[in-house]
Amino acid sequence: MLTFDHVTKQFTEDSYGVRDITFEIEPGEFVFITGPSGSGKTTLMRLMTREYTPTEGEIHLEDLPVSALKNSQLHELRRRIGVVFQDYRLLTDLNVWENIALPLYIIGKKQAEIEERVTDLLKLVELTDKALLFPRQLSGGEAQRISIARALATGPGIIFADEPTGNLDNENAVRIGKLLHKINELGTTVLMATHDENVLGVFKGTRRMRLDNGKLVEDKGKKKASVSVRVKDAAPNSVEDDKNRQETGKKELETENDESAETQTEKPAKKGLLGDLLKKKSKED
Amino acid sequence: MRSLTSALTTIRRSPYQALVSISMMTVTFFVAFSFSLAVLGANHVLRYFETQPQIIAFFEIDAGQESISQAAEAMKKKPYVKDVTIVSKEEALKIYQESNKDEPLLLELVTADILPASIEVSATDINSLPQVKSDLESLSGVEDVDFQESIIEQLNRWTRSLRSVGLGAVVILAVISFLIIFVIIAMKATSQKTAINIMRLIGATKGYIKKPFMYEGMIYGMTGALLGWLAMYASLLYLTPWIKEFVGEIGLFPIPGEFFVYQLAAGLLAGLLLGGMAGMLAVSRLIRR
Repeated sequence: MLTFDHVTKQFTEDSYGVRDITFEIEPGEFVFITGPSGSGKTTLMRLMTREYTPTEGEIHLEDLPVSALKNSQLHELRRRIGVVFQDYRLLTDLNVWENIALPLYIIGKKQAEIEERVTDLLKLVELTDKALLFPRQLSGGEAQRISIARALATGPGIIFADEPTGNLDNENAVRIGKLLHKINELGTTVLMATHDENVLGVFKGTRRMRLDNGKLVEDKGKKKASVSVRVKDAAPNSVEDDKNRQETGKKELETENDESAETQTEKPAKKGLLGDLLKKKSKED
Repeated sequence: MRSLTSALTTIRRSPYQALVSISMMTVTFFVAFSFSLAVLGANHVLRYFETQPQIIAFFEIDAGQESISQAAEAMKKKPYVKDVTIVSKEEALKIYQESNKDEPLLLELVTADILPASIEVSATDINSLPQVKSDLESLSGVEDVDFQESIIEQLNRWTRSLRSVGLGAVVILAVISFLIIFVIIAMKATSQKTAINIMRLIGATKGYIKKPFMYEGMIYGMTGALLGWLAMYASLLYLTPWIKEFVGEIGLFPIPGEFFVYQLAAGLLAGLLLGGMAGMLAVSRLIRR
């Protein structure tokens, strides 16, 4: 569970990033964080990853008191959170495969495990054939999918995507939104900061927190996840299958309301679940 | 292993910066190894002179053999006296003849009668020489005492100076090498600032980020030490005939093989520490910011 308890981030005397924000996000939720530019979406992410320390208030991620962490413990927090940026932030010197593998090398996984995991993630984002390309050889949409795969690599319990569709056209933006939804279906909590109406339009009924001038002004659909888990649909057999699945999912998303969503929520949200599901899927393949 | 690969890749991608770092390290270690060799040689020379008869007491021409022997015995009993050798009139003549064998005119005029007998005394410690000198002067029948104090003292001073100058030069060069590696790695780290920030955000520890830069510094340091040692050894081989001729009967050669092994091991360790520290500090500054 992610908890913000009366969190304020003040930069100067009259400049605030966020002001007195309080919310809770349950494991397995999908939450949109919306609001105009400068409303505090990015500050929220930076508070979560402890790039910023709150001026007031407490942040907790599961058992970790984020605000009270020592600098030497920050890596423990950041390994629990996958971050996706608007500008992808892939390492240009590394190819796609290496970019996805990087977090796994950082946590000291064995080579065989890394290879298996990266292959699974490439399948998930449908970019298996681009594994050896470098970021500059990818389109924006592809780069963002790689960025998402990298964020998922260590199996974090929560993903924060900060305007992941900001640099993308409508088609790619919706595709990224769906990919994040698919990841959410697999049990990972997803926070997606966006003001992209196209994406928001596709995922009606999903919880939305709206920020304005650093304040949380609206929190709709609280603690209600959008879709139920269907393990067999966890990873696509093919692009065609995935399209069909996404279409079905979209219809479900559009028709379900908050109440029904609550009753459908059966998602276990344990860390590393994605890996297990992907393994299971690979065996089925 | 991955950090090492990463360091090697960085070196491959910026060969000129690597060349500057390694060259500077090579010069530093070449000077350090050369000075250590020079100090070893100087110590040898000093020891050679210390083991030579350091004080010679000449007896009066009419001094009897018995009084000479008594004087020698008295000196042998002193705890600070290492060795005493009696040189009789006849032996003095032989030495004279040997050293002037190319000048027959000088030989014709000299007989054993006009040469004084003497005793040659060497001390256990160079600092006891003044005491030995004073003891010899107090003996009966002694006409003159020849003390090579100034030569020994001068050699001792030279050796100390050589050590100080060598140490000073090595320290200055080591500081310059350290700064060059530091600046080069700091430049590289700054150019990878974005990548470092991303790595921090995806959970890399400071140690994980520092490692490739530290390895890079270590590679510069160790390569410089190895090349410096090879350059020193090659120079030594080239200069050996000249050095042998210069030092004459002082047996500097062969230099023990262990000395070179210790020298190389110490150099590699110093290079490892110097380069590693420079790399670590260079990137630490960036991570802190």
